[in-house]
Amino acid sequence: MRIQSTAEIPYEAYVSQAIYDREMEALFQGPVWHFLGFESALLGDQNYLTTEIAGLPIVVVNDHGVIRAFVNRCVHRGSLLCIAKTGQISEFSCVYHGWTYDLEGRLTGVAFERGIQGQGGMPPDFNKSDHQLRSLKVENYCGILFGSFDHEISDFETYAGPDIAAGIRRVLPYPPILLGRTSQLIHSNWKIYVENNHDSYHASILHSFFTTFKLNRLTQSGGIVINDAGGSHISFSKRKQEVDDTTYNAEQLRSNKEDFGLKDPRALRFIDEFNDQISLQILTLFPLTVFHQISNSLCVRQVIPRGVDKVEVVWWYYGFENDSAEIRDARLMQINLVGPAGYVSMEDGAVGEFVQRNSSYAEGAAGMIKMGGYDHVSSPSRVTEAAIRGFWKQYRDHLGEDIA
Amino acid sequence: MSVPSTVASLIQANAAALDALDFDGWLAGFTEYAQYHITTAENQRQGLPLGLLHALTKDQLRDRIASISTVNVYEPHRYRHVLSQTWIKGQGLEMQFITPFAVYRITETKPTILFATGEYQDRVEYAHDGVRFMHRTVVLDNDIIDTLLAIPL
Repeated sequence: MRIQSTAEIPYEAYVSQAIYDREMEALFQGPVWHFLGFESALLGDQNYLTTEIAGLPIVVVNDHGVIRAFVNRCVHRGSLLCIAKTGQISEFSCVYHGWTYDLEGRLTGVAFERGIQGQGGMPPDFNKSDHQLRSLKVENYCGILFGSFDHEISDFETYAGPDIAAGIRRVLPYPPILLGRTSQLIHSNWKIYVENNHDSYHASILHSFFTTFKLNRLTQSGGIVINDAGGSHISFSKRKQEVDDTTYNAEQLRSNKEDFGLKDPRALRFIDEFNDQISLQILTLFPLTVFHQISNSLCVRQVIPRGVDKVEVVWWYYGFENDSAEIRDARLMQINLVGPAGYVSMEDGAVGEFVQRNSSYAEGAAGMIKMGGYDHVSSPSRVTEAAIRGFWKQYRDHLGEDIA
Repeated sequence: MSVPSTVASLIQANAAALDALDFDGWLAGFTEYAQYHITTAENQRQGLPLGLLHALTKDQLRDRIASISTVNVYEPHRYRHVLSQTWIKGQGLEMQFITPFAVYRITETKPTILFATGEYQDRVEYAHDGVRFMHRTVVLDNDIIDTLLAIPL
């Protein structure tokens, strides 16, 4: 399978097990940064958390102030080492055969290594120092822990690029604290969900609630910013209306329901906490991390591929220790807008599946992403699919031109 | 104290109204200043305030019904609630009616799935014209929502 132009995506890319297998090897375990968790979950010495990168179990631990991350897998027979979501440990210990590791991942103990009374035990050529847990490179950026399987990867800020890094710092002026977490299982390939986040064109059309309440209209001032690598982007808009409504009305969008109003509109209240009037910022970090600011709702969305036709999205809602009561109330109330039950984002759970259901039988067909032209550069217009094209550019840079 | 039959009936009728997509009937079970939250057991255990849905007035529940009925886009579906027996937890102002539930989701194109299990944690208000929820927290056992949660639970 080969893409004919940068503006086409073969549907096969969403259903092929062979492509998924290559993604697992060359992309997710390659030179990319992944969300691991919040620094605030690991403040205590020897605290650990378990998470996943694309289905690979990961354990992250605070080893006397150094954050380390490992594949959560015993070198002996592959059992999980840490099973709980969080906890405290002084060493890793496998429940299966009792092999132990220090918090730097070095194998320190093998049960019955010398056998019993001269019988059994490991062969003479076995040396514990030859074995350690598979480690990840870890970086703490603004209180968020990121990990990479590639120890040669550039530092996080260089990887993200200056604009994307600034967009992350904007929504993380202080270390975040977790305010709640939910998870959503979407019946589509992971790329359909990630593309959806790169798709500034759909937001005010599919998500009628946004437009009905003038939360995000394409006519609002804003824009998209795409990094040089292509696969990370920011789409943003300002609440203040600066373009007149005629374009929207002429399009007769389904979402223009003048008769629909909220009886209790407090969820729509926006407090300009970052003092820049930007009320919406969707930021993707290639390949599997999304940061959203929707009014005062702040969230990291962790994307976990679960086979070719399923993807789990974990919504990590956060705030800051010094939130005023007013800001905290706004974050709580805006849970009604976001997440699997949110007025403005619930549709993303359904639309990916609508694409997926068609992808299996598309017989060589391809979807098109020509809105806004053929390039993948930043623009003041959000009526563009440039950020989706950017995603595919970086995707092919990692996996080879022949992948999709 | 045993669960008053009026309370048991309210809890049953409220679930039945949702199953029948009778949203007016569902709304009728709440006081004007009712609070209604949907969260997960893990968020509740950790004391984290954010879950899935957070309404502080009945008007916010009316807004949700209006939005999912006229604005939001999703595949048509309905629920089937299976409720276990209500029991009483705590005393006085702390008293809650606890009702374990299983909710199945029925769509036109796919087999029925077990959508959620959990429990209702209810406080009620007795008025001359009947008993209504003044505070309902829906606590889901699992963090994972399949596809989306449009219709309240």
